[in-house]
Amino acid sequence: MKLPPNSGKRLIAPAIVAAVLVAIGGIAIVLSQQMLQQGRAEQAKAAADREAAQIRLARTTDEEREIREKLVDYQKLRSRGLIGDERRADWIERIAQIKSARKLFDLKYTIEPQRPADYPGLAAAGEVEFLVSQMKVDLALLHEEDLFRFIDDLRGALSSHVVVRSCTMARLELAPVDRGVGPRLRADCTIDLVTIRDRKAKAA
Amino acid sequence: MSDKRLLYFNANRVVVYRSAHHKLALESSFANNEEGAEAFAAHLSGLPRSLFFVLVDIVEEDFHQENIPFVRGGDRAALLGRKLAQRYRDTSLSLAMSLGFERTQRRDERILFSAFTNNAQFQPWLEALREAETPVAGVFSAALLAPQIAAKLGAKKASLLLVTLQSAGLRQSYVENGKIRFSRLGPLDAADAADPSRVAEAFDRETTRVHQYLTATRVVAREGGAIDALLIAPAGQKARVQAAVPNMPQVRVNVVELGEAAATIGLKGYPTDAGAEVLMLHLLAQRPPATQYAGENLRQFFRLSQARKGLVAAGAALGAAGLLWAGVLLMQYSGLQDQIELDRQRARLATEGYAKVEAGFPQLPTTTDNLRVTMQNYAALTKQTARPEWLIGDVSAALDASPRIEVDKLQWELTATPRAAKADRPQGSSPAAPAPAAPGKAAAGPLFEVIQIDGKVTAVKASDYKAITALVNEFIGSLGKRPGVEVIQTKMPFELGSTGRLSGDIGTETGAAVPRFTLTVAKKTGS
Repeated sequence: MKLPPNSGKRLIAPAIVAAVLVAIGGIAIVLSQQMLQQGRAEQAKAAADREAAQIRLARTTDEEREIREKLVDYQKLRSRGLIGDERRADWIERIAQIKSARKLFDLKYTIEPQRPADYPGLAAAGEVEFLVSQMKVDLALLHEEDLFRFIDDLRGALSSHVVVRSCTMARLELAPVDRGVGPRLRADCTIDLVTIRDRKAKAA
Repeated sequence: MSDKRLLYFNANRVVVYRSAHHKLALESSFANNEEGAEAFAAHLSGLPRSLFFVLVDIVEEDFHQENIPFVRGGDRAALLGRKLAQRYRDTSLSLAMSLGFERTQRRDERILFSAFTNNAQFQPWLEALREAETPVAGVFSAALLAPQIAAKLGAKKASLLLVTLQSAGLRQSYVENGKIRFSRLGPLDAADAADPSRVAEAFDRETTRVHQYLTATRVVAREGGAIDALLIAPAGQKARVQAAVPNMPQVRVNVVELGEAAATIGLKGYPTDAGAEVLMLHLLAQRPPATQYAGENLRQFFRLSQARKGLVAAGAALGAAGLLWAGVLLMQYSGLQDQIELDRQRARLATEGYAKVEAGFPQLPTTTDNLRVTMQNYAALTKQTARPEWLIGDVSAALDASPRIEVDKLQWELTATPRAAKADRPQGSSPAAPAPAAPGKAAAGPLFEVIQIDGKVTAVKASDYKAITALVNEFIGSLGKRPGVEVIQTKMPFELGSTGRLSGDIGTETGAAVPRFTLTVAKKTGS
């Protein structure tokens, strides 16, 4: 096969046309592959959504029972005042009432600023937050049972969940002359007062 | 696509036809002389770029058959070139065509060598084509088209003598097994061509000569019987030519009219005064023979045209393949879209179904998810809520069993690491918080209640190491028997182990010194 001189120049135009045609085909493949990948991702998401919705529907009966059970407990917490803002004024009043009712010798307390609870196992959820106000109490006791009754009273009286974190009881060294009806023990305890903030909770 | 033009070259005239849509149109005609060639060159400059086929219909052509040894590739090409050069003085318009192989052990190849023997008459015309850079597909002899005409007109016989009447004269082509073996152009004036008796006379004369030649060259066996001949008569003269054809014992004649032949090969229109060359020109435009006479020098611009078309065709093929593949991918994408729509529809139905069921749920004071999270977290918190009185109760029970043990101080705390060193904390300090879990994860491990007991042994002489140690061990044993309680650290009043130093003063009263000890007790919450 013999070509005339300067054939190269005469082949430039058809070569460009050929390159353009090949490029069109290549671009079409690339674009369609991108569309296909996007479609696959969409399809995977749609399938996952569909599966989740179908599973949710299939579990409706179980879910309804679970919700009914949880609702009872939730309402209990709500009626105890655990869900919502903490009520420090009420707490102070109740602590004073307990001291008076139990005839405790001496009771000093300090309530720290509220902070998020850092207990293990609490799932993070944006709309539900467990908050802790740590209280330190210093008690003069006649008997160790007084401490346990005081803690029990706190659990019943305060609108919070009470978690005792630590307690130290020490015998008071008293002179023989003081061994009448005065305190014989000193206890200091660290107690977490836990409340729950639910941003979606409707007003009671 | 460029037009196809056909240059019909005979001894008197050179005619340009244009082929389109199965029709042949006469474009221009030139006298076969120097002035004609110049006019042709001028005519070419005014033509759009088109592909030319040159059909030569002249007397000065030669056909020669020869056997060559069985060789292939470059050796065969060199051998054929050498043979052509030996036979013809000018090989610029020549060809070698294979007619098949001998059925002998040597398998010699039968080759038909052919060339135009007076090439000078073509040169001005071919030069004009080259100067105009016109793509020339090739130079063909009218003889090369005879096998195609014979096949198209339905000649079933293995051999046929095709007789055509055309502008150049009366051409007789002997076709054997679909290949041309011999062709001869006999002169016939235009005036004679219009007279059927003259045509029949020329047919008789020329056919007798050709038959004699074929017999002499043993192409046709002397005792082989009559050969078939097909005569293409001018339009409207079939009956008269047939009547005038002499009765020849060595030839069986069949006459076909030009119009019938044209219709049979698919030629729908042609100049009315043209001869049988229009059949050849039409077939040349539709399906040119594989072999032709021109060398590569004359076909340079045809090759360039092929290269240009090839490039575009290759690009188009690759582009089309790309588009096809893209189409396949888009079909898959379309299928996915259908699946997505189906999934979404099913999800919507399931969601609507759930919403209907949910409408029957009790009125919630919060969202379902918040309700669930709240109660899950509250359950986790409750598990970590221990009551100090439980473990302290265990200690009290052990103390009841050990009346000589007195406790001075109890430190209770909730911890995840009970065996960590437990330093005495000052009064009122808070314990380290249990290790927080990573957000969203469950607790790393269980929590423990831990009590550090600071106590003393009473009513025993301080120097009675053995009794004191026994009392403390008895207390430890009592603690250890409580369910779930484990003594994890002990600090005895005296170190009686072999690794420590032990000293005393026997005989000296120790006075009021009280033996003190420290124990650390742990219990897993919930146990």
